[in-house]
Order: sequence, then C-alpha cells, then structure tokens
Amino acid sequence: MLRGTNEPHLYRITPESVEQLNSRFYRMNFILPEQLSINPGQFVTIKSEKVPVLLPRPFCVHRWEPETRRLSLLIEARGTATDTFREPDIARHPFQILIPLGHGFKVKPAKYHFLVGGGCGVAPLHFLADELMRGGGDGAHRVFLAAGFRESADALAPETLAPQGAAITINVACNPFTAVDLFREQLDSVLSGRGQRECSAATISKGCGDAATAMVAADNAANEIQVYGCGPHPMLKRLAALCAEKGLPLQVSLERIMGCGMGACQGCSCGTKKGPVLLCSEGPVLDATVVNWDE
Amino acid sequence: MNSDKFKFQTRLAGPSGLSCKLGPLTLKNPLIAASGTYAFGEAYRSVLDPSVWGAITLKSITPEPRPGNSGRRIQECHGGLLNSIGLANPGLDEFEKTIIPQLADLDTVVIASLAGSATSDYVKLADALQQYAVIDAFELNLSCPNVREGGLAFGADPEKIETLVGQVRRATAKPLLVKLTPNVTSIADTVRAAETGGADVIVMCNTFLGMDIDLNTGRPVFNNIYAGFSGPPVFPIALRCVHQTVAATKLPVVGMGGVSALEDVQKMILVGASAVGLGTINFVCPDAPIQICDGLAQWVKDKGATSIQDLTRLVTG
Repeated sequence: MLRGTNEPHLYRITPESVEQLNSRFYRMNFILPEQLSINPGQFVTIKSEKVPVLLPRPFCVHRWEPETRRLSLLIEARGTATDTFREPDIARHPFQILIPLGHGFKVKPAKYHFLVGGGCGVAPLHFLADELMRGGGDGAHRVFLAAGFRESADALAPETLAPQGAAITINVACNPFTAVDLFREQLDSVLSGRGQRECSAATISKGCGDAATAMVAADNAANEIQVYGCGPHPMLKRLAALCAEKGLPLQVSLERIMGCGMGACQGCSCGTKKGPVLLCSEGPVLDATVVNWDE
Repeated sequence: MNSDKFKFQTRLAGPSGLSCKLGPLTLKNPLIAASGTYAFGEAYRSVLDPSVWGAITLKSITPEPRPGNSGRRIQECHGGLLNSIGLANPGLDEFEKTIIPQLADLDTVVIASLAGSATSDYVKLADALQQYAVIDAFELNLSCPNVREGGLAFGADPEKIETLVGQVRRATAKPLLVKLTPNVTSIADTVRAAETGGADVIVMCNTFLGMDIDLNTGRPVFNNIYAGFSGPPVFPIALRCVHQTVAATKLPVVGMGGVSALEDVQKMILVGASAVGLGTINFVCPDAPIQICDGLAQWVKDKGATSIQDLTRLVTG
C-alpha cells in the first residue's frame, strides 16, 4: 500500500524498553520499522493484549529520533491501562501502534518560545523543545519550559523534560496549576530584561502560589513570543486567560477520551467558536482563542 | 481522493468462497463496516484498503447538518463502549457536494445510511440520493438511541416502521436495508413490520441502551443521560436478537452487535445471518476484517463447503 510518511501507519511491535522514571511516570520506547514524518504535538494510540481495556489509548509523542526511528512515549500511571503498561514483563508483549495521528504544534518564528506543561502534558514539550532547538538553538531564539506536577515526588528530571544539553530555561512546580505562575515569572523576567541567564537545571519550587503577579505589558506586535501549552483543562484555561490578557499567541494541546483516533467515531468532539471539532483529526493542538473554555 | 496514490490490491474477490448474496446485493465477502464506525469510507484508508470489505455502510446523514451531542460522547465501560454521538453529520447538501465524489474510489458495495426526525426526512434523502450510481443501497437507521426525535421513536413502533419503510420504498428502487433496535419487547413485531413495509434486508441490531454515572459529580456521564452500548460484552445478546430476527422473517439478515473476532462472525452466520457487521472493533483494531476474512476462507475450506452461504442457517431451529 502506497502512503505518505505523514499518514497513519499501523504496526505491531514489542517495546524496545520501558524505563521507570519515578513513582508515577515511565517512558516506553519503540523502534519503528519505517522512517516516518512526525511533528511535535502529534500523537499515537497503543494497545496490547496484555492490557485489559478495549480501546487503544492515545499518547502524545514524547521523543522522536528520525535517525534511529526511536519513538518514546511518556506515560503517567493513573488507570487500568497505564498501570498495566508498566508491569515488568510488558516489554515482551506486542503492541499495536497507530502513528502519526492528528495535527501538532505549528512552530512559528519567534524570539522567545514558552512551553507550559502540567503532569503528563509535559510529554510533547520535549519533542517540541527539540524541534525548536534544532531550528536555531544557537542564540537566535530562547526556549523556556514551565512544568507542574501533582506532587514534588512526581517532578521529572530536566533531561526528561527537554533535550539534554539544550539551552533551555526550565522551572518545575509542585502543582500543574502553578506551572502557569512559573510561566508568568519567566515571561516577566524576559520582558523586564532580567531573563538573560541560561539555566539547564530544574528548580523545584514549592511555594508557587505567591509568584510574582506584576508584569510589564507585553508588546507582541512583532510576534516575538510564542506560547505552547499541554496539560489539565483548568491549567490550560488559566493559561489561555493569561495569554489573552497579554495578547500572546497560544497553542494548546487538548485531551478528550478518544475512540478510533482517526476521525471515524466522532467521540472526541471539542466545542469551539467555529463549531465542534474532532480533536483526533483536527487537533489535538488548537489555537487557544477558538476554544470554548467553559464548555 | 487521488486514486493513483492508492493502488490497492483487491483482496478476497477471487476463489475464497466468501462471495455472498444479500437480497439484491452481491458482496465479495460477508463483512460489512457498520454505520457510524467508518465515517464516509475514508477514515482508515492509510492503514486498511477499503476494498477488503464486503460492503461499507456510511455514517448516517440527515437532511440538515447536525453538530451532534455536546459534552462527553464516548466512555469505555465494562469492556464495551458507550456512545452518545447524536448523529453528527454534514447534512444532505454537503454530502452530495463533497462526499459523493469520493465514493467512486471505494472498490466495494457502498450503503448510504439515512436518518431523520420524521418520515419525510427519510423520503427526502432517498429521493435526493436515488440518482447516484455510487450508492448501491440505502440503510434506514430507525434505531439511533442518541437523538431525542426520530431514532428509537420510530424503531420501537411497528406501525411507524411499516409506514416509514413503505414510503421510502415507493421513493427508490435501490435495495433497502432496515436497521432495527434491540431495545423492544418483541423483535419479531418490528422485523415483520419492516418486511411488510418493503425492506429487502434486515439489519439487527443497533446499540443497546445503557448509561453511566460519574462518581465525582454524581451525575450521568452523558448529557443525554442514556447512551448506546456496544462492543464485545453485547455479543451474546446481539446473537440472540439475530437468532430471533432470522426466525421471524424470510428476508436476509445482517447480524451485528459486539462482533469482534472470527468466532463471533462464524456464530452470527451459524444462526442465519447472511452478512455480518463489524462496528466497535474498527476502533480497536482497524485491520480486523483482513484477519477475519482469512479465517473465514479457511473455515469454508475446512468444512468442505464451496461457499460461505452453505454454512448459514444450520442452527436456526
């Protein structure tokens, strides 16, 4: 069957490895049999006979190495399927993988890129950061990552959140919600000219609630700033409100229960100002200004 | 759709013994993609050659566009799937304008599924679509559980079924499949009503009415409260419904409901189904029909039969 490398492919392969990252997160790695064209923010669905659920489960691509065809998924253990995926013998079982699915982030030229993730919503941001650094990590632009997790013990290490060695400013909070506060701090720092220090080490910040709220109004007429978000709906809603207030462009990766992942079942409908859209085929990344956040 | 881009190998059209008659229709094999699980035939193209199907039933269309239901639309539950899609579809005009031109690429029998809120809606759709040769047959969806008007209101009332089918019958010469609900007291009554009205084929069955509660809110998961339940858990109930349907009519029957594996297809055929619909399994395993067709061909061979049709109606008594 002739098909483009950016069209969905169906494979049945066993994981190359499963890495436990902490008590909540693990990383599942596969070597795909073919070279595919995958963009940050696109997702896959996976299913295994070993896992006692019906529907394949969707995960954003966490890492993709085209040269080695190595695909990594970041998985948070929070249910029947994701708990089973991390069982010790899981790597011996074949998985059905449907990849690549949906539309990812549109990477636009900007001086500052802010990536904001909550919980397992940080998954696609590693891939996105990688893409952004490949496209000019030589000082032409800067990348900031703000990440929040339910508990400090869940917080992922910097090398899990972003490509190793990349000149990315990373701040980690103990709550998905406060990732937005960290972003606000980063933004404030940049806009006030205080954010020139590169930092590759994570800062675990526990008292994020009192984050700085004063910020210089952003003049983003030249599209110097792009913001990308992925995480729990309340976090993204808060991020969208902040970006709307500051006039900053924001792309969000949204989550819904999915059936087919390919636009057939119409189960992942999301209300927007343009009418309902299917997140699997028209998303999962949408412009934040079109989303009906209160639906 | 660029047909040159998709040089599909037409499988199973040859001597596998799977060709079967379904009333006026001839299918290359007995597997039919169920309406609502296959969009308009294009959704899985990159992972499955649509020509592997005996037939594809398109998503139901209504005269006017429908956005579908708001709120949560699907929920996995007890190994099955609850859905409350609500007949989301682009409407007749858009269907004619953008979907019909793509159907010529589907190298299989194409069945258009018609739905509405009133008998006149079904007649209007059949009348408008009668002219298109790419549509081989109509399926009347008289059983959608997820809309407030039409749907079950038709499908549970034998008199309304007979009237509606009769009126559509007079509007079109195309083969008419009538998809009925299992959510009735007497399946035989609704099946006979469809037969009297002029149906060529009975499709049994649509989803089973179910519901779920969100324990965090204490409220129903779905805005419509009730939803259609499908997937592997409903198979034994659907098999019983198909058995009762076959006993109630001389028309050919498409059996569906929870069919997920070769064994399920075999059982449907053994209770008298002339063809078998695959629905929810398409979401789970998009290439399921390939594996099932291979298994069916081997089954025909193992039984010493020349055609899969020889294996139907063995245990209908």
